[in-house]
Amino acid sequence: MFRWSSNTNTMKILIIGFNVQADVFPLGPAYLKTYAQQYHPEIEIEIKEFSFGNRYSYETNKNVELQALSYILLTKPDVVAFSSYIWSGEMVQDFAKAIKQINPNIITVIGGVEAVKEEGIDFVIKGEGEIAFKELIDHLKGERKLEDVHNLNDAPQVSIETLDDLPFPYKINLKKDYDVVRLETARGCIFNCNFCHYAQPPLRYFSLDYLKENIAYLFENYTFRNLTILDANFNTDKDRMFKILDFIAEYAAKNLKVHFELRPELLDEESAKKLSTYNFKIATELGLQSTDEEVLKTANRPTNLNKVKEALSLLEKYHLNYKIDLMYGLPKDNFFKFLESMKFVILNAPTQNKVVAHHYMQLNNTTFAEDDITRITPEHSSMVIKTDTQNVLDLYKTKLFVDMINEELKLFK
Amino acid sequence: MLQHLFPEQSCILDMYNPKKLQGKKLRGLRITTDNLENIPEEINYLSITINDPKKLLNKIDELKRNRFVELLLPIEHYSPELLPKLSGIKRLVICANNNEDLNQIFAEMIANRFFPLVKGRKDVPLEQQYEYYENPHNWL
Repeated sequence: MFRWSSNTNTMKILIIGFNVQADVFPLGPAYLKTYAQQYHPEIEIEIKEFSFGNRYSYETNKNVELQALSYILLTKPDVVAFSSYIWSGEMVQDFAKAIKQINPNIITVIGGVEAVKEEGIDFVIKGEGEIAFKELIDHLKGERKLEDVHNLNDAPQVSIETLDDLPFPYKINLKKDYDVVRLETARGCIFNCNFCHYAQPPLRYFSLDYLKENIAYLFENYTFRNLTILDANFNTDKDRMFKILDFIAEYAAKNLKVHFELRPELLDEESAKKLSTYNFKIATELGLQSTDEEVLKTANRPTNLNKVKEALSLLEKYHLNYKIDLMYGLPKDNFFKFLESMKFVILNAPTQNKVVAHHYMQLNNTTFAEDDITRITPEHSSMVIKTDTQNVLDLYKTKLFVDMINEELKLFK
Repeated sequence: MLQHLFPEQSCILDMYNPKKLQGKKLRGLRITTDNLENIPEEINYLSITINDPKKLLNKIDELKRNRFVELLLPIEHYSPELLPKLSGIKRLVICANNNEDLNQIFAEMIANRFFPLVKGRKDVPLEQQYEYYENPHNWL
């Protein structure tokens, strides 16, 4: 039904990124482009980023969409592809309809964890996007049947088996200086928390040879102040983690900050000590979510609190920058259970200057999405407003309580 | 509230005494609106019982500067119009008597970003009872 038909010989694809944070390398679109262009070098694929910035004011501000639509009008792409994430899920639906209104011949493709088929959207890519995006181009060129495109609409999902098959996304013709660049060293997760979908694709690693070669390329060709490692738990294999950090250390300047997430129970003294010796700054994040046994069990997130305490004391001992997060509104949680979680963080994370607490956002395609939980926008991943134990008032009171305690906590820091 | 988690770092007095405050991180004073003059700069925590809202409003900007301010507001002095004027106050506690319907007041407090705390009532959810947090055992 949808076939590229143009008088020119070059199909023109525009991949749009709608971002909250500006000046971050567009990693996802770059993966799509570099992978697809291995097979379709003649296709013109452009990546364009639009940042939400200060979106809300007295009037309903649609300036980001207007900016992107104007860009489309001027550049006349055949295909426009964009992602739907938790921060953009609602807006991209309207955006797709708007594209069709300005030019119904433009083919629209949506991907990302929130992607669903809606009016104005021609193709939905589910799961990992690289193979599907490349195969969709095959189809649009008349080289593949639609039903043979993996991960498209309701087709069976596949993942890249060997991550090293992916071209390094930074080997792309884009600007070379950013505030933040991001790096995957693995995809998937060994854990399987019910509120998360990180573990849905199988856990796979980029080889150390791939990473060594490409980390060198990244540092030799780009300037940046922050390097974020996107792995769910970077210390799942600590020897591997240190080999990768050693690669980074070969090139890192003193003012570089490397961000990554750690599973606290897997942190030992030797690791904390070694982390403190690097010639760059380290910022770690630890997801605790709750200290309540029932809440953690329901979330399929068994946690050894004594080990978490030990990890925090090691991070303190070796002066490592860390942030430990909580989540309120999980199933089985209540105000007083959350108060216990807060007390744990306040007492065991002395250098963290506030309690970082996130309102539970229920994500599509997670185990909890099948539970009897109400969220503010039922069709999208969004904040929960009713669980088995709490209603919206309970949840908002928790937010106000956290804010109040954080103000008081400032006196002790 | 957090003085119960950090008792050795906290001191809240009914009468200013610099010696007792020495070395403490939370240096607090409990006062009323009858005595709002000359609060020492080293005081970083004020718990103020409101006898006269006008007196409070006349001094509020000065009082809340660099301080955590908790207000104990007797219900007879409460009005919804007062709450926006208390912006920047970190904790507001309604001191209630017996049978008042507090739901509308709680709704106004939430609309003004105050955690809805009440003192003197046992018929509201426990997490909204000020006395719960005043009991050190509940912080252990």
